[in-house]
Amino acid sequence: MIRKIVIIGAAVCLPVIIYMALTHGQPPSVSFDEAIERTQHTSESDPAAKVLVEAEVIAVESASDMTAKDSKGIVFRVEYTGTAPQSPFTPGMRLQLVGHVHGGTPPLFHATQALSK
Amino acid sequence: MIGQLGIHILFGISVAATVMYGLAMRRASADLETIGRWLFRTLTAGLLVSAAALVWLIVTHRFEFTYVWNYSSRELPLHLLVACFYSGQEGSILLWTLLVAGIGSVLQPYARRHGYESSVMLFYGLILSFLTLLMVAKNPFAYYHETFAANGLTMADLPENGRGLNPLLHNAWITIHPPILFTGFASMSVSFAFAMAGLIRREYHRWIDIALPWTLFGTAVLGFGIMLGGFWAYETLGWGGFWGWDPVENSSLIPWLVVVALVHTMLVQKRTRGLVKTNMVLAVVSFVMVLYSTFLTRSGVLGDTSVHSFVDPGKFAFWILLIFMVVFTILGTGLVIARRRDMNVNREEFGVKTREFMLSIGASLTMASAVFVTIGTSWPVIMEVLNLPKVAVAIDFYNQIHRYLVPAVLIVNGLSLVVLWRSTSIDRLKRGVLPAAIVAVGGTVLLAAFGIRDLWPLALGFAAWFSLAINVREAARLARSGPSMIGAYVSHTGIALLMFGVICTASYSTTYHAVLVHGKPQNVGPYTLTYLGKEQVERHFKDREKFRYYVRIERDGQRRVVAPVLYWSDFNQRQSAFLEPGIRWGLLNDLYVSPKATGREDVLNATTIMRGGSIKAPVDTSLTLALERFTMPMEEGASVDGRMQMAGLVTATRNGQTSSLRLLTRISTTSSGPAFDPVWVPLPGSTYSVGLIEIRRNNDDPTKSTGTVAFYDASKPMPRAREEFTVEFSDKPLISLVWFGVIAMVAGFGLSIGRAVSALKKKASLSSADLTPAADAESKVDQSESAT
Repeated sequence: MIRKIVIIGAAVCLPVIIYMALTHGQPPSVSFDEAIERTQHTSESDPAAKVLVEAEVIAVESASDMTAKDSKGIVFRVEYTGTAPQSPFTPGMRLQLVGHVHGGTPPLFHATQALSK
Repeated sequence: MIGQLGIHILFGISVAATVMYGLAMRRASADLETIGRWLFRTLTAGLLVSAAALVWLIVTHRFEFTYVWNYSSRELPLHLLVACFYSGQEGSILLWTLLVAGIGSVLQPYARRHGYESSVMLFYGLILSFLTLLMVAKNPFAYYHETFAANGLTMADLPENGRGLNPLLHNAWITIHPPILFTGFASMSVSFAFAMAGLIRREYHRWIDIALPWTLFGTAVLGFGIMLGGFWAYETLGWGGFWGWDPVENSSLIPWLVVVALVHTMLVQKRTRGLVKTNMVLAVVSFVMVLYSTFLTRSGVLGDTSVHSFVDPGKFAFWILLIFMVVFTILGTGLVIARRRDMNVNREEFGVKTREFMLSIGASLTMASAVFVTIGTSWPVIMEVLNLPKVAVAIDFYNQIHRYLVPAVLIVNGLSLVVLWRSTSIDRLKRGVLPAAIVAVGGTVLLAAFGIRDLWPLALGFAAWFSLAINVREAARLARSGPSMIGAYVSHTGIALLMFGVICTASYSTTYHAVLVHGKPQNVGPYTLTYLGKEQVERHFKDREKFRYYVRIERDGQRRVVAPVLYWSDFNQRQSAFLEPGIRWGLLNDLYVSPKATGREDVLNATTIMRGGSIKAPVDTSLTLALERFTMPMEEGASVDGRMQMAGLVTATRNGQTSSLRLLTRISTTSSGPAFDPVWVPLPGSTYSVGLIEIRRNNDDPTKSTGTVAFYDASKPMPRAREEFTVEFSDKPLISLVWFGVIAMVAGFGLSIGRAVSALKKKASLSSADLTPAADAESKVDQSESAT
């Protein structure tokens, strides 16, 4: 009986848990402006929560520095510290950037992951 | 050189000890066993010498060693210098290895007494072989000039001081928490080694008796270590909680949950001879989870998904960690699978109204928690593998799951103590459950009367009252037989108290945001808070100006002063503040003052203007000020006292009449950035003067630079801006129950260990010794059955 309970429990709960993890483990998709706002609402001692910004690469200065434009047309600087991309970043490339905004003048987007769209 | 060589030699000795114990077991050779024993002792002594040498190098500031330079500095007091020993990856691996070996040196004669030496120490030696190999990869005795040889450093380039210890770790808890946690981790190896030995020897029941005290010890120590971490976070980090479901916290919790399940299923096997395979699997999983958690938090795979910092250990260490985990997973599951038919010796169904059934359900729920926390913690890694956004799951994921699991565990815990082994009559069940259910309903009504309306805290409250009522009743009944009999009940009572603490703080805590002006009492909720001033502390640290801010809390004539701390440090390039809360501890409630920011009162009507932009003067709205541009320092030259000067060129307009203002400001550099000293200029047609008190240059686009101007009435004395201290103030009722609950839980484990050890000593009556939290005389189990 215990075995049946455990198997049925696992069969029912695991998909629910994975669904919950999917819904709780997605960064919100925002524009660069909204990403700035989220950083401003974080206290000085906490890291800002990660967000996803859909962007198009405009210029690539180096492997870790580029300029991008979000869906609202806002141009911003990106500092990329993730793993080496499968293909190098090139202007015109559309990316999903995962990371957060660093304050400062002007603010820059610190991307820890770049997924090609 | 000697240190590095020594680590390599220790790896060789651990491999040799493992091989000797393996051969001794295979050939049943006492001589080989003796050699293995001496090799093991040599290894332990070597590790002790290595650890002592590292501490000595740190205490004597030998910065020619990379580890010493990286984690310590001359300013640190002795207790923190000693703690530097395990503050980095290399040192903490050495500490873990040392503790595994230390526990092994107690385990070895114990296993010998029970005839398990070769088989247990074989696996123990294998674990140590991997740990010492990890030490080879992360050698704490590497030289500074070798580490940075690529930068052209030579032996002559000796750093004068070290980088120092992370300021967050500068408190007494670092001297206590990590060693306790690592002792818990280290002791997880013991039940695994005994289970493996049992599988090899085909002794599927005997190992349970022998390993039980060790498993209880590991559970108690790891649980205590985890909650010490929670207490540290509460007392030091200032975010107001004690558990944040962070990957590092979870990585200790997961093996603990598994070993809690193991303890209970071991008890079932002791009494019923059932769950043989379950115990083998759980013993393997509890150890593999230690390795998996270590892999998650030390391999760098979680990257920046935690508030804790993770250091990339390098490829060699990454692969050793991965192979370490894979080898023991394959070894453990392989042996269980190989012996699976052998272990089907006593497959019987447990009746629902039996203790074995309830304990099994309780263990299943605990395992479910472990599995779900593992999924949540591993989520960033899973997402990265699937090429999806790599982020940690939100805390709510864990909270939502445990809203159902925790009450269920507490109810099952209560029921498991009411029912008997083998069978329970309906009458007895009613007699046991009804009074506790009445207490639980009454207690829940009480909680509702105090204002709790949400379903989850009420459900948790009901379950906690139910569990508490049964455990206290059973403990009171058995206390007459001696304190050792009530260990389990004390532990369970502790968990129920802990849950009450969680309910009270989660449901009743009130938090206020307040900006406190120096010397000015301010009402914050039912309290009056006054910021009394600040005092610089730890002046000997050159990387920071650390201040203690004194805040007086008053209510109903009672006064208390707390001293939160807030500062910036060069350690993190002053990117974010370091803070420590001020806490007024109390039995009924804690008053928690978390510092957020410091500043000055705005008595000068400060207003920011963008270059090319304009503002209405806040002191006279008929006057418009437009900032044309900033002059460059070379245009202005230096001030009389040598300071750099810049000016904002401003056009003032009133009723169509314009005039030009040159707002000169003198700039000096301080540790917290540039400081501006304005030259005050009279505003045309007004008694006010204006000054430029800040320039923020936009390096990418200078046309977007901004200036901040301030105003004061020159006909009056210059107003003095008082200091402001922004805090988050919380009243946390009955949070003390959380800490008392943990202490009771650990004390209960201590009593249970004492009972298990004394039962083992009674060799003659070993088979009839009952270590379970049972006191029922109604059921007797035939324990003559042997699986072998």
